Amino acid sequence: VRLRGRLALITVAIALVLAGVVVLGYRELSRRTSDELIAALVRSDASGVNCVGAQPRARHLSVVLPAGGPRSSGERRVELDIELHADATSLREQAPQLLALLEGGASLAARPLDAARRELVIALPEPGSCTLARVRAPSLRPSLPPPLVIGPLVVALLAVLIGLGPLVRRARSLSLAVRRWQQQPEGAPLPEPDQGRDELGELSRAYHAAAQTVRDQHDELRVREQALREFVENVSHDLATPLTVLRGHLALAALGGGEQAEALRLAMVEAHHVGDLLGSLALSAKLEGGTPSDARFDLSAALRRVCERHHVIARELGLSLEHFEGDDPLVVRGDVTFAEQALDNLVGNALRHHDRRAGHVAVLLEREPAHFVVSIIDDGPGLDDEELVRVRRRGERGDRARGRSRGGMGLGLSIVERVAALHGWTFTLQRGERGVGLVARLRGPLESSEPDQPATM
Amino acid sequence: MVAAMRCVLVIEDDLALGQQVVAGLERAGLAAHWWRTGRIPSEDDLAQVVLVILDLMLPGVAGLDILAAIRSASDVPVLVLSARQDSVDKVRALELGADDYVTKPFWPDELIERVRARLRRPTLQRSDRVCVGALTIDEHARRAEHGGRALELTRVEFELLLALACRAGRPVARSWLLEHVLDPEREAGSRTLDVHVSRLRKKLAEASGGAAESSPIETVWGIGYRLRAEAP
Repeated sequence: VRLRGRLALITVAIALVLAGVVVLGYRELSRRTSDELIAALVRSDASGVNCVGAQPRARHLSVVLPAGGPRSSGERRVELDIELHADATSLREQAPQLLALLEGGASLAARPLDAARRELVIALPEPGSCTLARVRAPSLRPSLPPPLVIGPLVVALLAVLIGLGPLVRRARSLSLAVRRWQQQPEGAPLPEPDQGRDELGELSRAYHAAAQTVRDQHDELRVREQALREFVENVSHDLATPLTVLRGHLALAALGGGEQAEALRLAMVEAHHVGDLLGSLALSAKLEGGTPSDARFDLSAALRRVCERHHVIARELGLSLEHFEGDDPLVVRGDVTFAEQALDNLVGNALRHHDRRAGHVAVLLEREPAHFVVSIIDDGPGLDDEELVRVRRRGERGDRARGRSRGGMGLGLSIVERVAALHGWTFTLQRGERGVGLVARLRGPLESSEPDQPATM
Repeated sequence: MVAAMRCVLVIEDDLALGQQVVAGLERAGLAAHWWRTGRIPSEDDLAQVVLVILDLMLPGVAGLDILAAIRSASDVPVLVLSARQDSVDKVRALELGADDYVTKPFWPDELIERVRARLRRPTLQRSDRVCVGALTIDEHARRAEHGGRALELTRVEFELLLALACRAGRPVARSWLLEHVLDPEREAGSRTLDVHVSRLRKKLAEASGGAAESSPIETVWGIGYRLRAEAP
């Protein structure tokens, strides 16, 4: 729009200059014409002088001049006004006489009066007397013919269109190409630069080169990030089996009881925590760049798995973990691993951050007509209002939960947030009834019919 | 019960993990065959086992291929061990007919519990007669006995007891009971449910001659109520 505005301004300026030239030329032409006329009158080769007008001192004179100038042919009729300047009393009689004199080829002398008028001295028949006539030059005719005004405008416009049009078109097609490219999926080839040899082409090629550099760096970073993500996933994968074995040994050793029972219990809690962290880490890497699967799955089976997974550790922590999912499968759409990890984190948090023995954690899956609600309720220390807000940001956790033995990297809740956002679920965290403990809730839409996968126990 | 005869096929390449799984199964009263490489089990192999525990990451034939082969030959339940946080593999395994999966790292008890759950299906008792400990409920005749003595129950009390007994050992949510047991038009409300439960506890205690505190109906914090699976 700005470029177009400037072009309009240029057009107007050019038109004004052209119009000025035309007006000045016209004036000059008129001046020449009147001079020529007077010269003709003086030379007495004007013919067909015709005078009309009822005003006592002004007459409209129509004069036919012989072909003027070398290039024109035939006769020209020139219109001009004359003002008679004899003394008032004699003028009435003098006027027809004057005309007769002019028609008869009286002797005349002419001199310029000012830029617009000429003064004619006309010799009268009486010896030694003469009279004066002032002639208004035709250049002072008020209006210029319309084509002379519009013409320059049209010419200026055409000149601008012809001169700048292609430039505007190229700029426009470049911006269109860039915009189209923006809408394409990531990795689409960059739009071709303008091939012109002028400044616009140069600019376009410079930007293209810069974009290519940014693209290359971006690609390189992506490759590195992908490698890092794969590394994290592979490490968590490789750690999973030895960690399972470690848990097996710990569980077996704990069966023996004895002096080491407390140490073994703590070791089991830590081993469980490491497993949760590993899951969060792998999922976090996946959330950064992976594409979640979008299948129907049974949320009640997933929730049951999560709770069973935490039963052992709840027992070791001396907490009661109870869950209710109803009897029938509850089908939702999304990524079962992501959903399970989010639930894992919520249940794991509720257990890990509980501060007293014989406390409770309850996990409840309830059905509304078109929604499910998962509630994870505990009677632990809970969080105050400020912590409730802060704890949901990545990398942070509540003050009461601080300390290595109980916290994580703070990945837990941020993963829940992101999984919820990914699935279109709402995640709320609030204090429990009468301000005791914490209630974490996930609410989301149900799928209507059977799952893609069989319902699992 | 023929628990001693029941044999589980474990296909797991990791030596330590395989040993633990086999030991865990044996402690739980199940025999185990352990294959350390991936190969396709024959129909004879499958006929001898009640369940297959299959690791998806195996040398030799890939876990998913083994799963597909098992499914084409047999209906034996397959429990998949997956170390991956990869939904695609899990979803694929379930599509191919796996009955359940356990994600590594897991606790031995978790795996055994999952195996047991799979072997004792269906868990929901749905016959006319439900027996839990000293409690016998005849749904068809709408009669309930505790320790051999008939219980005089109102309609709601009977439905409540039946609902808890069908899910014995597992907690049942208050919201579920309110919706499915109480007449929502006449007596919706959490207090009403508590009153019914309290009356039911008293009647059970009277029938067994015990105190109401030792009632088989437990309050489960945050959820609702549970009927203990075994008599106290």
